[in-house]
Amino acid sequence: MDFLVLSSYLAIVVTVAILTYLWKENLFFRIIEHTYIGLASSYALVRASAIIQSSGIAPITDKGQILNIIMLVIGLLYLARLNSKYAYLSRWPAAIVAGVGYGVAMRGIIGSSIIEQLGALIRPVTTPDTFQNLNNFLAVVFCTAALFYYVFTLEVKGVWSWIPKLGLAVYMVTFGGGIGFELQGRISYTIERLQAILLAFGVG
Amino acid sequence: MIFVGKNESVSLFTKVENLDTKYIYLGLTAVIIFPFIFPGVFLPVLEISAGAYDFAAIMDDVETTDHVIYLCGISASFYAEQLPQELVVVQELFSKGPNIVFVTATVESARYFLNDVIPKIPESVMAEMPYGEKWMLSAMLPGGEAGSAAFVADIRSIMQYDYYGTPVEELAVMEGIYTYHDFELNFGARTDRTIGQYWTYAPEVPILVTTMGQDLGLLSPFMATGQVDGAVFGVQGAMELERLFNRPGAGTARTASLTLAMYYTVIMVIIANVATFMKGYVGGESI
Repeated sequence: MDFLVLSSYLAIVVTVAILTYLWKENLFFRIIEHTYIGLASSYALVRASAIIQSSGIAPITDKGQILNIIMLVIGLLYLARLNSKYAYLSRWPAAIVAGVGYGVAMRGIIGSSIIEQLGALIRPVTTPDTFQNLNNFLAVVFCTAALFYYVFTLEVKGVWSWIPKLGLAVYMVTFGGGIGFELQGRISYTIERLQAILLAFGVG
Repeated sequence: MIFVGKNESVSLFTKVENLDTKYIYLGLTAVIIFPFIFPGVFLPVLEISAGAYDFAAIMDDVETTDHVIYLCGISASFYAEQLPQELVVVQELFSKGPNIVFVTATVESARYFLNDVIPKIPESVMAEMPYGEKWMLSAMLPGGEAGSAAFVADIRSIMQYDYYGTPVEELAVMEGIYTYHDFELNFGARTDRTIGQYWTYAPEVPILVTTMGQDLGLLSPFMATGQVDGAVFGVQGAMELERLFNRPGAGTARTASLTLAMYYTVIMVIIANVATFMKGYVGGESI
């Protein structure tokens, strides 16, 4: 039997074993769960090793980029966590990654996620398209209300108390929509797996 | 006999509210497999979004001399939603014959293209697209946003070898490619977090995104500002592209199930809310 065909049938057996959890916890589910975690971890380890080889070691050996040694040493400091006496050293690579990451990310965030988004938020409300005008107006109102929900330095009360309440409603609708799309994604996974099972039985 | 007596109605609503989830999943399973067993009985929603039209319009303009970058940040858990999209996009792209540089940002992305996407391209098309001359696959690009920032400024500083360990300067497809500016088009498969880096560095390079349904809210602001020029989401997005490029595939086949499953979910949510409301209204206790 072809390896591809065999792996397809194996995938179906694994799928059914995982789905049995919906009925109740059982041995088959446990075996597959632990196997999956083991395989995923080992695969990630092997791929990570390959990346260290191609991006870290090969440039040193092939092109003489000796500065890469510094990166490798910094990376190795993560392993200091295994020894309680030197565990503090593992904070350095984490700090460098976080610091550089946030610093570089700011370059993209300020332009694309703040300035551009603010420009897109404030749009004219006097265009010939009435629906678009209403949409543009509501976008500003909803954004302002949502921001006020997180104003804690002063209590918004009296005639203005509806603003943070509207902000809360905006968040609830937004999160509700997000969960709907998330659910759609989960159902897509189920469809893909059930379709594979049906195809194995010659249906569909 | 729901409203025969107060006690009976209370019991029914309480039972509905506490219905065992395995029966709900069983119903969902039945709903999903129904369109596969009885194709054509249920007609799905087949509307095409503006983002998909924009996506297809930009792809139509791709020429054989163009250099296209295809960034991929997906992992195995995204396959169900991403694979149908990638199949239609990559097949369409290869048939147009531009120079394609696949850049992978997760450990699984390269294997994903090599095992699941590229083999689906017809041999006649692949014969016109030899590896190294017309397309290449990078080793994993690590570092998230920091990696993307280094990549856009000086590609060869961070991508020195391809997936097979060949130096990129030996690949003809990389001739004249040194920075992100050298590309005419950017495809992003699940690369939402790094879009800002690419757009900030070279806003003139159009960005097209294929991603999961849950990213719609995340990407909508970028689409509204024009930073993302076209995007498709989930199985629905795959169906849209399959219709626009006339390449029926998994997206079209699964849309009926997806539509029916979403109807089922909405109905169950309404029933659950009505049951909870009515139990509170007429009184009752949880089981």
